[in-house]
Order: sequence, then structure tokens, then C-alpha cells
Amino acid sequence: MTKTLPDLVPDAELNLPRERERTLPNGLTVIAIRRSAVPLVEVRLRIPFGRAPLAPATLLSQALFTGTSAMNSIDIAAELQAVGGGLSAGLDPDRLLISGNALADGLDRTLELLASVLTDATYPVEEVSTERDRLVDHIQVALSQPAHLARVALLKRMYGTHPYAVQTPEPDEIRALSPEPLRDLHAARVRPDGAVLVLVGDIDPDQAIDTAEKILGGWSGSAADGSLPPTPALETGPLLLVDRPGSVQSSLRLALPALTRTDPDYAPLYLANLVFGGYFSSRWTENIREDKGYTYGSYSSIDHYVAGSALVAAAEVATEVTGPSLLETVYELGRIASLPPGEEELEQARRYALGTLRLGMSTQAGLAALAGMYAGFGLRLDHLREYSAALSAATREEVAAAAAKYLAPSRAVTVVLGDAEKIESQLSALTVVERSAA
Amino acid sequence: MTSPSAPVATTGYPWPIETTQLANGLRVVVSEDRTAPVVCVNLWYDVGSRHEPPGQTGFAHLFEHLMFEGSQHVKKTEHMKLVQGNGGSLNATTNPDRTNYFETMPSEHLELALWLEADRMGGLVPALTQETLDNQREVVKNERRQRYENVPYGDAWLRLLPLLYPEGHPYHHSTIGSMEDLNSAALDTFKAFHQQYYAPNNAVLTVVGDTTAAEVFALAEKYFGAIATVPDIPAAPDGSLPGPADKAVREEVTAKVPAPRIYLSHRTYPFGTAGYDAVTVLSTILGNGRGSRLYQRLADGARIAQPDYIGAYGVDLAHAPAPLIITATAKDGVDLQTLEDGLAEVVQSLIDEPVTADELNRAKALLTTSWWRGVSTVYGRADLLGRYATQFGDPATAADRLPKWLAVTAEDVTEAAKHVLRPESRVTLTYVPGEPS
Repeated sequence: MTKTLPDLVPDAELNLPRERERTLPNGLTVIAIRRSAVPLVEVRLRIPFGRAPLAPATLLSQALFTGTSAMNSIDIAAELQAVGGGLSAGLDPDRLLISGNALADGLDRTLELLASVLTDATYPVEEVSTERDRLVDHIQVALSQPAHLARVALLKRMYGTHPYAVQTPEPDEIRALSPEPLRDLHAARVRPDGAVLVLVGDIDPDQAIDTAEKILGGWSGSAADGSLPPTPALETGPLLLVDRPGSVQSSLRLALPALTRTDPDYAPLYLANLVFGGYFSSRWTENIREDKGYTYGSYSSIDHYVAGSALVAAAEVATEVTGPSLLETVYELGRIASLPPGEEELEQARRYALGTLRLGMSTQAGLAALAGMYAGFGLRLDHLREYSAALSAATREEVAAAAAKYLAPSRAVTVVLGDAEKIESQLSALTVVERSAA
Repeated sequence: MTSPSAPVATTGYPWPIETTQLANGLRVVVSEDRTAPVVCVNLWYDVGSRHEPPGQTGFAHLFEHLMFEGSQHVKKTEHMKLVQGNGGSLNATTNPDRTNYFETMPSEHLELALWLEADRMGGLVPALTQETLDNQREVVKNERRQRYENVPYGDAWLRLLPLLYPEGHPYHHSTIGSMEDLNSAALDTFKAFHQQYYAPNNAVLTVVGDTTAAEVFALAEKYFGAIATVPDIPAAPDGSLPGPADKAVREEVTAKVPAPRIYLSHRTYPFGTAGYDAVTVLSTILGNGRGSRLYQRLADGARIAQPDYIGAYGVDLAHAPAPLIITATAKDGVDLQTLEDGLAEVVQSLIDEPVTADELNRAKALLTTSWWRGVSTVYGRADLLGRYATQFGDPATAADRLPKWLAVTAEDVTEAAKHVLRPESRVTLTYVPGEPS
């Protein structure tokens, strides 16, 4: 065996795929990319949905595909399955996202079914009632999952009275809904103006855009203004402890301020987060997993919404080491905020960031997700050129400055969910703790 | 409405495949694809939890963790840093059958990935320390808590296996293992484990993506060629079984769960057989999506099951009859018995009511999409070729799976249902909400 590490070679240039784009007269923007690896096509449609009332919007996303004047829900599902595909809708605080895929030669049929739902969804009473029960069941199951409960508590703490603070409706709000508010909301907001359709796969991009124009050109109307106020600054305060009796692990969550993707300091902040906790080779993982074995995994990432961005760090740690885990977490945040990163660890994070961009773009689904996500923020894939140049150029000083400003533990909002009886005294030794009322 | 026509495919693998074998027994598989500048390196070791003797459950998986903790020329945490620090992503998984390791890299870093894999195949033992073992034991115990213990219904798989497979069968115990066994894991056992199973003649190296067979073969020789063959690697205990179980068994669990849930399970056929292909189509018809029988009859029709938690799927195990798992969760106000009766009735319908052409064609279209999604990434392709080379001796046979699914007839599905779905061979696992006793 050859004993020495092979010479490390420099990274190759980023190659961007060609994006074809057309904004139709109805205001829908269609972006198509050819990636012919397998005979499939990925479909993503983003419709701006900011400020839509949460409960009806959530139920609408679940009931959108349950009926048109010509088809019931089983017909729609069966027709989509017949071309090997499926479409489903999901909601985030900014938009309604319809996503799915199909065999490439089923693109026309898939878009026809999509168009019929967009222009002619009927929200039948029976089907809405089924979806209502289903959503209530789903929310109730989520309420038993520690990761969901921790997220609910964290969002409330981060966003206060901003619409982002609550992203899951109460079961009772859903139970009270009839089809009428869904139909009204569909009429007001499921409109092409400002929406973006992304098609990626074994397709001819120009032909795919023509097809989309032919099939979706009849979808019309303009939507109400959905713009949201900017997110409020995080308000620090006592650690919020949420009790989950009997839990064998504690869910540790910290939120910190962050920057939008187009901010000149974004690349340095992104790298600072990687060094801290944003990938497996980070300091935080090395400390609480690889050195101490407190957790199976920890991870921090920057979440982007249209009205603002935030950094969230998350780990599930064994109950008996909840305090020590928080101690190490605060230590690692303090270290990255106070001292510049090492040359080598910065280089490593930089190359990871650049390499994962390339890996992410190497599949149809990855490319579709990236193009669609960027489009939702008014960006195109060519932003990657600028962004990768910024990642390449960021200096230790810039990364240290971003970390000092955004990763300082004094700015963190902290929530811990776990067996309060066993962990409260551990946490109180480190910081002021407030029990959640819930 | 258009009536679905059956999709056709003559091959599920339209890319080149080239193979060689080094003198030490390492099989090397290469599949070139220049469409994106990435490459995946994948190693299948023919060792999984089915090889574990009593008292050592969870060892194959804990060992997988140790493979990331340094080797002869790679310090602790350096493996991960070298891969990620060169833009790559990596992971490994263990299941009852086998252990796989893989990294997807920008293609210019292929050589680095091969060097790292060779170093831990040939030189792990000198780097194994008690400290590393103790650390990763805690990590794995946290993995067990996070995945199985701290989530409602999370332990269903752990409970199903001993009900499906008799004591002493290689699939009787779960891959994650028991806390007791993990606590007693000794360093020497792991050293011996590596020396026994992590041998070139017990592995398949697959490389897919932006490279050539000639380049990979040369690099494989350079880095893996000097690793010694291990003679007489012991086989796992025999997994053959006379047929479906002859006695129904059930287990009833009271736990902090939001609603009653049922898992029905049967032993079917080993993955890779014609019988299992029929079971794959059968489970798609039964439980995949809104067009499926379970959805149509229990969620949409009788409205006794929660639509989001209906499912039927086979677990693709190759060394013994693989399990088919069918699950449903009661809607609010529906009791367990009602749900169980409803579920049993739909399962019985696969025997009594012939599968329609529409059902069959929809299932095949769904399987076709899921197949192509699986091979849409270099990772998916490398893992597939590694599997077929390891389990069936020839990576090229991977191309046959999709055409074989598409050749399954309605009669095949009914025959499979008659054979595997009989109530007298059924495992039933139920959860009801309440304080655990």
C-alpha cells in the first residue's frame, strides 16, 4: 500500500448549467434546465403566499389536489401515478410550493393536471373534511415529536409577534374550517403573477417552456400583496426550558442573527458557521460528539426567509449531560466569536462549501431545488458565480469579524426541551432558566 | 381520463460497466458518466449484523463508526476533514446484510478518496484505541435513543425482527443492537472483527462518475493492491427457512403514542428472486400513495386510518426471506380492533380480488420513477452496482431489476399474495396509547 497522502489537487472551476427563462403574459416565470441523466423531469412551482392566514393556507396546501370539476382526488392521484409521478403542495411562511416529478415523456400530462388544479380546484366538502381530519391527526402526531416541539418553542421565542412565530396551526383552528375560506384564499392568492415554475430533467428547455406556456397560459389573475415586515431583532433573555417528562434526550436549540444571501458579508458568515457547527468536520461536532460522545449529531445552519435570515444550532443530547452539552456549545460559540479561525480549518470549510455547491448541482432534483429556491429570492443560478467568488476570497479577518458580530453567545436565544425534573438544575448552574408555561 | 399504459424498459442501467479483480481478491467495478464533474467511491463489505454472535449485537454497526476514527496514516477526525475539506460528502450505513462506505467528491479528488479507503481497509487496527471505542459507544447509544427510544413507535422495527425470525436466525436481532451488548463491547473483539471481515476478498469497490475504468483500475492496484487476502472468512449463520411461518404471533405495546397503530408483517422471499419482485409490485399496489388499496379503502373509503401513516413496503434483505411490513394508524375515535379488521380485509383482498390492469400499470409507473430517481445520482448508481456485485456476483445484473418488475403479471401478484399473506403466518404488532407498564 502506498503510505503517503496523494498530493492534493486544486479544485476545478464551477460549471453552471444553462438556464432558459421566459415570463409569460400572465406573470408566471418559467425556468427550464436540461439535465438528461435519467428519463425524468422535476417540477417545482412557487407561488408567493406571505401573510396568507395560517390555518386555511395550511389546509389549502393539503386539499389542493383533491378535486376539480372533472376529477375527484383519486382520479387526480391515479392520473399522476400513470405517468410515474406525483405532485404535492407544501407551505412555508413565504410561499406555497408545489413539487413533484414524473417520467420525462409525462411532462405534458403532468402540467395539464397541474393547470387543471390551479384553475379549477373545487375543494369538495367531503374531500376537505378528509384532509381536515388528516391534518389534525398529523399535527397531533407532530406534537408528540421532540424535534417539532422544540422548533415550535424556538420560533415563538425568536419571532414574538411577527407572522413567522407560528408556522403550525392549532388543531382546533383546522377543525373549524369549512371549504369556503379555502376557495376564497385560492381565488385571492393562487395566481400566476410573481410565481415561478422550474423544470429540470431530460427535456428540451425551449420546447418545455413552449409547452408550459401553452398549458399554463390560461391561468390568470393577480394576487393580493403578500409582503411581510422584516423580522424583528432577536431578543435575548433567560434560557427557555420546555418540560417533556420521561424524555431520554434533551433537544438543545440556539438561534442567532444572520445575513441574507446577497449581503456582502454573507460568504464570511457562511464560512464562520461551517467552522463552528455547520458540517461534520466542525468544532462543535468534534467537541460534543467525537470527543465527548454527548450526542449522535449536532448541526447549525442559516435559515433564509424572505423577510429575514437566522442561524439555528440544534443537537439532541443525552439527558444526564444536558448541562455539560450547553456548556461546550457556549464555549465553542465564544471561541469562534473571540478568536480568528485557523488557516487550515478555514481552507477546509471553504473547499467544503465550494465542493458541495458542485455536488448539489449534479442531480436533477438538486438542481431543481437550488434553481427554485434561488428564484424564490429573486436570484438566478448565475448568482453562484458571484457567491463562489466571495467564498474563495473571504479572509480570516472577514470571517472572524462576521463571527464576532453574529455568532457571539451573548446574542443567542436558547430553548431546551427535555425532562425538566432531571435537567433544570444542570442548566441553572450555567444560566438563568425560565420554565415554559406550556 | 386516460387509461394508464404499462411503462416499458429493456434495461434499468443504460451506462457502461467495467469490472476487474485484483490478485488479493478485491473486485473493482467502474461505471463512467461524464455529465457532471463528480465521482462516487463506494465500498461494500460483505459483513452485517447477521454475522454477529449472541452477546455481540450492534457490533457491526459500532464498528462502522470506528472506521471514521482514524487509521494507520490518518489521525482521528482527519478522514472526515480530508473528504469534506476537499468538497466531498460521505457516510456509511450498516444493515443486517452488509456494511457500505461511500464518498461523493469533485472528480479531481478521486485519488484521495481511494487512498483513504485503502488506508482504513489495510491499516485500521493499529489506530484503534480504548478511548475511541468508549467515545463511539456513547455516540451510538445516543443514536439509539434519538432514532428508536425517544420517538413514538420508534422501536417497532426492533420489536418486529424477533417476532419474524426465530431465535438464532441471523435476522433475529436488530442492527442497532442492545444497550447491554454495546456496554460490554471490548476492544479486542473489534480488532478481531476488522481482521476477519475487512479484507479485500470480502469487499467490492465501485466507482461511478467522471473518470475512466483504466484510471480507477490503476489507482485501485496502487492503493489496495498490497493489502493481504484473508483466508477462510467464516460465513454468517445459515438464514434459510423452510417457508412462511406456520403460527401467527402478536405483541401488544402500551406506550406514550398519539394513536393506536398496527404493523402487520410477513416473511416473503429473499431480495433478488422472482417471488420478491412480485412482492415489490404487490406492496406498491397495496400501500403506495393515494391510488393504493389501503389508501382508497381505509383512508378515503372507511375513514378509519390516518392517510399520512398508511404504508406497505418490503425491506430488501437478500440472505433470507425478506419482511413485508404493512402499517396503519387509527383515526381519532377509531379503536384498535376496527382498524385491525379493516387492515386484514384489505390484505385479504389481494388474495380474493384480482389486481386490475390500472392498478398494475400505476404501480409499475411508480416503480419506474423510483428506480430512475435511485440511479439519478452517482451515489445511487455506485451503491446499486456494489450491491449486485456483492450479493449476486455480477454488477451487470442490476440492469435486469426494472425490466423484471415490469414483467410481473397480475397472476404473479395474486400467487405471491396467496403464498405470503396468509393470516396464520402473520406477525401483528400493536401500539395503544397509555402509560408504559
